[in-house]
Amino acid sequence: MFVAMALCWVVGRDGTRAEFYPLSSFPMYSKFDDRSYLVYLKSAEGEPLPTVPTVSVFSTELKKQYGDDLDDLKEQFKGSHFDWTVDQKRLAGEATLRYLRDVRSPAAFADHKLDGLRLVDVRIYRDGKKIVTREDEVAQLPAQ
Amino acid sequence: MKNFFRTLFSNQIGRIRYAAWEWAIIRVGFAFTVWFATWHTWRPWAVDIHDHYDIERANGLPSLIDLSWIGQPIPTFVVAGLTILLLVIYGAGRWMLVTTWLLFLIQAIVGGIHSSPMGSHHATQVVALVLLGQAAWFTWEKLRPKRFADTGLDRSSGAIFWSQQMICAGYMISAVSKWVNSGGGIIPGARWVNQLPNIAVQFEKNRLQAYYDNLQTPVSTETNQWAIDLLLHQPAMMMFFLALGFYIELLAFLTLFNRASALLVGVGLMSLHAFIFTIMNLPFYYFEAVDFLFFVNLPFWIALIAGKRKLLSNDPALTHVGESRSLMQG
Repeated sequence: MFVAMALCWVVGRDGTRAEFYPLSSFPMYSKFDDRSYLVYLKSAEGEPLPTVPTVSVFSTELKKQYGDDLDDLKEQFKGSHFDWTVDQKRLAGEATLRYLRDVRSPAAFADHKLDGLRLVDVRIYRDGKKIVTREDEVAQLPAQ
Repeated sequence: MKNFFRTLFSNQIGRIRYAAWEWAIIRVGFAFTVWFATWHTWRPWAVDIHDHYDIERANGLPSLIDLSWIGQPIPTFVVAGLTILLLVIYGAGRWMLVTTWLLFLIQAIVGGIHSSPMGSHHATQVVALVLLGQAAWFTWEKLRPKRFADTGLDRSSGAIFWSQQMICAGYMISAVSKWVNSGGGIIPGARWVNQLPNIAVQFEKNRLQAYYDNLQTPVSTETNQWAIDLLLHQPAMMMFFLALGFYIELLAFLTLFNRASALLVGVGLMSLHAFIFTIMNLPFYYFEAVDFLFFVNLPFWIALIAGKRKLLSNDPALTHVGESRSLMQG
């Protein structure tokens, strides 16, 4: 048991988490900040789109991709992305939309079906005894 | 009943003898769990590996070796077919050394691509961990010197005991992550518990994410909202309940002490998952399944309560059943 625990803790460690399937430090919910974020999709017309039937992606996966794309910008922009402007986050948003279109679900974008697709960044904060959310459209694919 | 509680403090780690029929029932139940954890569907002809396999984003073995070929229709069909064949052999209890290693390999590859790219979630890891524990046990059973074979665990008991240890390892390392990542400290989990009111933010995030999956309001939204309100307005109560969850993870090794503690802690772990599912929309099907099979071990208790003395006492490996029987009657 302790050998398994040691392997789970060490193998594939990067910062506060270790991942090498199936070995994992199981880092989910291991600390709680008073803020978080997610993303969702909107049509060119501005209507929210369900991620699963539209691009075969769960919202959690979409957020993970966007988070990775934000991380890629950390050398370019200082501080936490919670403090970045919409323009700064736009590069990550565009990279996420390109990933959906070119890598993850190209078939969903065939025949210009998702031209003008938008990505909305939602920030959630705890403000005393209230939960506050703020939404920003951070990126949009070109409309035909 | 008094004796039942007394047995909770009886240390039988590594000495519990499980009957061959218990192992057979657990094996069959676990075979179904392995299938679902790997392919996520009843329909073997409809199994799928994402066609967006990316070696940079894969997790585990698929991040080291290019396994994109496995996502092509025929290889996927062959691997799924092989999984069924191996699970039938596994369920029958034959060629366990080979079947457990091969099933582990398939689960590790498909899971690394399909279930947990870049560690995006951890739903199926425990199934592969149990397979790894069983494969390690059958390897040890094959290679161990005779003096260990004479005094050590029999095949059924060893397979179950090593599986239980892998499940415990998963829970305990999760608790250690919470302890360390939340800031450490002398009292395990104290800082994590202190941060718990902020979990309301996570609840809201999960609620919104569940909504945006299909633009449908999840069934547990009302409970979720109730939990958020409670966290914001009466944090002490929720902190107490969630702290129990942390300590039950940290103390998961108590399941190894004896059958009674396995039952109680196993039910506790399953309740923890049910509670998290209710308030956060996070299902833990595979954790629930392995807890139920390897810790709760319901068939044993049914047989015990039903008074199937013959069934329980005919197996020479069951050294503690007579004791357990009297404990239940006490």
